[in-house]
Amino acid sequence: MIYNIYIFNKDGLCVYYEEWNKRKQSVNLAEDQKLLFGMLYSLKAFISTSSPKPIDPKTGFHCFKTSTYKLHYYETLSCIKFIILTDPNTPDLREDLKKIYSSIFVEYVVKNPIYQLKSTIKFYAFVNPIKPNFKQKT
Amino acid sequence: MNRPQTNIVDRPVSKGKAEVNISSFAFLFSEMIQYCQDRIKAGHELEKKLSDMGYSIGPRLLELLCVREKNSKRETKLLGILSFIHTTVWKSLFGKTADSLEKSTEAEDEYMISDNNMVVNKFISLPKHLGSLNCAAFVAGIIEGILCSAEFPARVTAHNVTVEGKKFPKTVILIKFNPEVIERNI
Amino acid sequence: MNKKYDKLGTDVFNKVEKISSELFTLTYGALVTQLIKDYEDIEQVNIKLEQMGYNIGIRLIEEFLAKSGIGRCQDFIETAEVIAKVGFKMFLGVTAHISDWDSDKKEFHLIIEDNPLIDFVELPDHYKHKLYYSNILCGVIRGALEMVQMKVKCTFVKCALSDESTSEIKVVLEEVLSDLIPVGYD
Repeated sequence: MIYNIYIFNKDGLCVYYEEWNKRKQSVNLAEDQKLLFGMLYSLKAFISTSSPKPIDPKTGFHCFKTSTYKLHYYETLSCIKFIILTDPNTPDLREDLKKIYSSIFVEYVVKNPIYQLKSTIKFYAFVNPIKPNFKQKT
Repeated sequence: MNRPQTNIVDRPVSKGKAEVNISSFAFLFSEMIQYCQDRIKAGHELEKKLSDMGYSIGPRLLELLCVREKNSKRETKLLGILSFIHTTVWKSLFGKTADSLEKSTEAEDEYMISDNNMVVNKFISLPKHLGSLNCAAFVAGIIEGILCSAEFPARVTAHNVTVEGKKFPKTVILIKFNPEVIERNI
Repeated sequence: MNKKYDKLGTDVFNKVEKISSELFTLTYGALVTQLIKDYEDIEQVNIKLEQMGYNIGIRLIEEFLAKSGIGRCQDFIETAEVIAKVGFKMFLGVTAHISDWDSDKKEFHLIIEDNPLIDFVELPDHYKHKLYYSNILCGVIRGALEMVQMKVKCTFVKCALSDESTSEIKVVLEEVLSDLIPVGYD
């Protein structure tokens, strides 16, 4: 079961957010997003300092799990971060995140002349294809 | 004065077979729209500006295609030039002929060329405040440029037309000839 | 040199959707013409073209990464190779050559023999050595590399339209940016 999805741009702005099946509503969404981004930043720093072998934290960090959810993570070389929260038993979704990046984000967001790179994503051509991708999994 | 060894007129005319990634065009076109948007005052001027840029391409493309595809012969008949645009021009620009060429049932001087999948609208998803913008104005400008330099002066505009059962509207290029062109052809 | 990237470039180019390079070339020509009309000073045109290229670069890198599947390069030498063999091929259908490395391996020249942007173009004498017609390419390289944490400076050292030679762009690596905490997160 999928709870929510976040896409962060290079500057740490959450450009896209959507939630499903969440029973507890967030009190302050913007604050939560900021917290998540900060946590990921620290986590990645920790990952690279604690690794026994050299590691690229962009590609080396895949997911983590708590008793109530699992966080799936994919970051591109250009520092765009795709994050999905699911129930703890969901299998790895990294490939799905990659697919969202390459076949939806690149095609409908990056190539859309009207989209300003530092703004949030609202237009239907992006939001529409992203939904069916998850319907089958929710 | 040093001239380049291969002066442009000594180079062979390109055969028109080379291709580039469609994204390169999409990115370039997108920057052009952005550029135009920064330099206009009101939204409706955007189509005009795009059309003007297209217009400057028209005469060049006409020359090139006449030399390459038609042995330097020129179309002098109204239907001839229309089918030349529908077929030859479309093929060289978009790699296929346009989907249809029709005469308007309402006006004597109007013709329509439609394309179900216009490349310039392919990557464009508009926010509401720009809802009526049609980037195919650029293509309309090219066509107008061709017609005017072929001595068939006309006003050419681009429109989106929703087709039942299709997700994306088709693009209709509306050609309205000047009165003298129609008179000449009667 | 390594043939791996030649093959990757060709493979990716074969896979992507393509468009007639004439539409692309003529559209670029219309843009440059418009800029020359809008700005009186040719140097401003060069700057604007570079900026537009930069805007393209910061988007184009995403498509590049997504379609090529390339991971992080080991060093700047590999980066140069990837730009010339995969980047140019993937977007423009042509490859470039690398030469003139400096001793620190921070600076190289990119030689473009078949630049599709300059088909049909001849510069009038008073623009020679003043207008860098394809300056947009410098911006694209700068923008794309900045998104993958490399700050570079690109300049045309030779332009096929002004010199009796192929086009040559000098690329200098100025700084490798670190993955800094964005403003507002501390």
